Formats: sequence, structure tokens, C-alpha cells
Amino acid sequence: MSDAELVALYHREGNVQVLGTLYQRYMDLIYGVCLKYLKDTEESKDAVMRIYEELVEKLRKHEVEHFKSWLYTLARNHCLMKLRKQKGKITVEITEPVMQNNDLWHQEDAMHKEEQLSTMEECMQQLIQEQKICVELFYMQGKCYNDICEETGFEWNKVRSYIQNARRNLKLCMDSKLKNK
Amino acid sequence: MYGLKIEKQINYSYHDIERYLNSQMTRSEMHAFEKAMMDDPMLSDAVDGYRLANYSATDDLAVITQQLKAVPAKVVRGSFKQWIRIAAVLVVLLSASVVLYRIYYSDNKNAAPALVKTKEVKEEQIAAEDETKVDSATVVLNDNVTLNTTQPKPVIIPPAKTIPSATLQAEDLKEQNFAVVDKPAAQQQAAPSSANLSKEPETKEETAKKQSSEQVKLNKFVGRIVDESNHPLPFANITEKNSGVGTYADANGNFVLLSADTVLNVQTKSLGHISNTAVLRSAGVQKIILKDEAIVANAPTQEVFYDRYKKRKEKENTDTTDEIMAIPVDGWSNYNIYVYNNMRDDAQGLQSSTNKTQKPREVQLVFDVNPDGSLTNIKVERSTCRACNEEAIRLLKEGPKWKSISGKKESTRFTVRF
Repeated sequence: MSDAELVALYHREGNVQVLGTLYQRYMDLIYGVCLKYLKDTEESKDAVMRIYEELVEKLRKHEVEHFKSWLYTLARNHCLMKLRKQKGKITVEITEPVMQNNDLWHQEDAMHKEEQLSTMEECMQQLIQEQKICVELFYMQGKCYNDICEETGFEWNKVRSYIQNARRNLKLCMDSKLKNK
Repeated sequence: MYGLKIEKQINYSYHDIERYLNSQMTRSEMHAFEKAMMDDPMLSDAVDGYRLANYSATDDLAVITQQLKAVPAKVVRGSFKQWIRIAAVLVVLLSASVVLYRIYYSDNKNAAPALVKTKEVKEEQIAAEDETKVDSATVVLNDNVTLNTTQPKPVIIPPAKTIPSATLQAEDLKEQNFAVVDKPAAQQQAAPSSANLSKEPETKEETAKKQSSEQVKLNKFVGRIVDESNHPLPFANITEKNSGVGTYADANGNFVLLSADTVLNVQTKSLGHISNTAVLRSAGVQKIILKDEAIVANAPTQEVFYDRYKKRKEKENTDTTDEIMAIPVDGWSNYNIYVYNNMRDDAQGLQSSTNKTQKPREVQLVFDVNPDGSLTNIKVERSTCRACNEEAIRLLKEGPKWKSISGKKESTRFTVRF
């Protein structure tokens, strides 16, 4: 059953076991998220349980369309709240909302593919050198981060952020250019 | 590039993450994984978490899974508590009404000799025994059911009140119902009268039955309207959605509907509360909880209306005390709530569409209050809104009982504002 089906079932029957099944699907990820923010295995274990309890309550009241992203937000907020309580005020790096589902590559229809590809070429030229290299290696040549690191000598983290930023820049560039045409 | 959508559906587990972090994946697998990370901030965060922690989380995850399995039982119990509470309340109410019914029924049989007493019972006793009325309302209704089981259409019949879409025969019956049902207190004093009285309508009922060729079995829906803190809401309106036929709760929030259907969709309305729809079943006592409107905050108009209405009413009442020869049995404020709640929507539509600066629409009625609390000779004395006259008369006719102060038939006035 899909997430949405399970959510609907839980709404209908209020059976917590249904929710358990659903939660298990993302438990690994949630534990990882908790580890990232809380940086402590014991606290993270506890947080996974707390988030589940929160989920039982909140999902009953909310209509949730995209369970996964909703759950992610719930989990992250839980961790951030916990940190705030622990240390008074704390600045946590909040990663910019990464675009989901609305990738520019899905907008196309066959008619405009050609046009889009040429626009993409133009936009690629506008990227800074590092971003361009990484994007080419990653998307055109299908290499993984490790390969790119070896080839370019960039750090793993850098490679990742180059690609992410390049994607964002490309999208902005594409959007404005296509709008103008 | 175009395969993103499909890859996104894959839900990576810790096993995958571990393989990725330990470079145990093939290059193309890693590439796909990295793409997925980019589209999925959750996965990306999780990978960061495991990478920074730099240990094998397999054991910890197993522990968490065990704990999670232990949780549901606890949570299930928690969420059931409320249901158990509601069920308990229903059981108590049900058994209470059964017990009362038994007691009442046996009283009827045992106290047979004192037949004529009813007429001697003074109206004051009704008022004095207001409290017993709640219970007897449910009890008395059982009689009422037998009285009305042969109504032709799936008409919903208010417990002790009128039958909106009734025929002439039904009009007659209504009077009888009034006599039977609206004297619960009197009946407890001199119970046998009900047995006596209920025979009459039954014969009338039979003639009605003959005239209406089809015979439909009706189900009884017993309900109670309360607010969120479980206080009964007096004179709330309950309307069946399909037929538009409705009734209203008594001063204690109790109501009864009869219908051939087994499940009814009803719309409730009570001043200062959010109108609600509910599904009624014919088993047990259905509780309908209405939320306080103030909590929702964006609909203060009724509250304002109510305050204004109350003030005006109070003023009027003090102004004309010397004239008043009869009052509503349940008090002015309850009566006003009844009028507000049970005003037909189309009449209210009139009201809301009119400009505020316009003259208030009101209908002053003059009528006789009989010793039994029924109203007759209802006439329009003064009216600023012709279209409202009919509705005003209907409201009074179908409304709660009045009480004449002298105990005799008295003429009095009431103004309905729209």
C-alpha cells in the first residue's frame, strides 16, 4: 500500500498499527536526521520515539498530502525544538528548502525539448567554472561524488554544494529565459 | 536526467545508506543515490547524520524497532479512553431510561383507580417538577411512539410538538399528543390518566391509518444536544436534511425524531454555537456536541445578535410587566433561544439580506394561552413584514408551552423579530 493509502486508512480507523507500519518505512531516515541535528545516539533514539508519539497525535488532526515531506518537517522541527530547549538560543543551519517534485526537467513536452536543451546550454555557460565542471561530470557523464572528487581534487562536501547550487541557478536561469520567450 | 521521477520513488533504507557511505555501491548506484539525495532533503539529512556519527547504527535501529513495536498498545489504549467514556455515558443513560420506563410503566398499572385526578393537577406542579421532566420526556416518548407508528410518509415527528407536514387528521392528533406528552409531571402525580388518554388517539390513529393506504414502520431517534463541556443546549433546532422536516430539543437538550429510515442526516442549529451536521442512528441515545462559536471567532455575528436581542427583550419585558398574563413555561431567555434557533432559514435569509438601517422586521402576535399551556386564536396584531407573519405564527404554534399566570385562559402578546 502506498503512504497515502495508509494515511487514509489511519484516518478512517484510527488504528495505530497502521501508523506503525508507515513509520517503519522512514524510521531509518528519521534516525539519521536526528543524528545529524542532535549528534548523540541516545538522544536520537529517544527522539525517534517522541516523534512517533507526536505523529500519532498530529496525523489524526491534519490532512496530509505528501506524507514523507510532512514527516520530514515534523521530525526536523522536533529536533530543532529540542536543541532550542537544551541550549537556550542556538543558530542551526537550516538548509534551504530543496525543490521537490517540480524539477524543471519535467515541465517539458516534446515540442519544446529542443528549445529547452539549447536554453540549458546557454544557462550552463553562465555557471561559475567549478559548478559547471561538477554538473558536467555528474549529469553528463553520470559520475558519482567520489569520482568527481578524485578527478577534480575538490572536497566531497564542495562537490555536493556545487552541484546543488548549480541546479538552483540553472532552474532560475531556465525559468526566466523560457518566460521571456 | 529524465529518470529522476522513477528513482525518487525508491525509499532508501539504512542498509543502502551504509553501503553508500562505505563505498560498497557500484559507481552507477552511487550516482543514482546522489541524485536521490538531491531531490530528497530527508535522505540527504539522514546521510549527513550517519556520516557524521560515523558508526554502524544497525544495532540501535533494531532497538528502536523493538521499542516502536511496544508503543502501539499504549497508544491504542490512550485513544480508546475517550470512546470508553462516551460508551459508558451512553450505557448509563440507556439503563437509566430503561429503569425509569419500568418504574413508570408499573406505576401506570398499579395506580389505576385514580382516574380523574389529572384535571385537578395545577400547572405549578409542572413548573416545580421541571427536573423530573427530562427523564419523563424520554419515558413518555415510548407512548408517543406507539401513537405515531402509522404515519404515512417518513415524516419526522417531534416528541411532544407539532407535525410540520401534517394532514388535518394529524392536526387533531397533535392536540392529543400535546395532552398526553406535555403533562409528564401531572402523569407522575396521577399516572393512570395517560393510559386513559392514549386510547383515544389510538382510535383516531386507526382512522388515519385507513386513509393512508401504506403503513410504514418508524424508527425512533433519541438524542441530546450538548455543548463541549456537556451542558445541555435548550431548544436547539434539528432538521433532517433531505426532507427539511425538523424538530427542536426541549429545555434540557433532549429530542426525539421518528422516521422510516434507519439513519438520518441532520443539521443542528443553536444560538452561539456552530451549526453542525450529524448522522443519527436509531439505537441508544445519540449525543450531538456543538462547538462554541466564540472559539471559532470569525463568526461573531450571532453572538452580537443575541446580546442585542436579549437586551431588547429584557427592556420590553420590564416595560410591559403589568400586561403580562402568561409567560413561556421555560422562561423568556429559553423561549427567545427557541425562536432564534427554529426560525426557518428562508425567513432568516430575508433578515440578512436587508440593510441594517432598515426598519427591524417584527410581528406582534396576540393569542390565548389555555390552562394546559397550548396556544389558540393566534392573530397578527401589528407587523412590519407581511412575509414574516406566517413564519411568526408557525413558530408560536409549534413552540414550547406557555403558562397562564392566573391558571385560567388568558390573552397575551408576543413579538417575533426577524
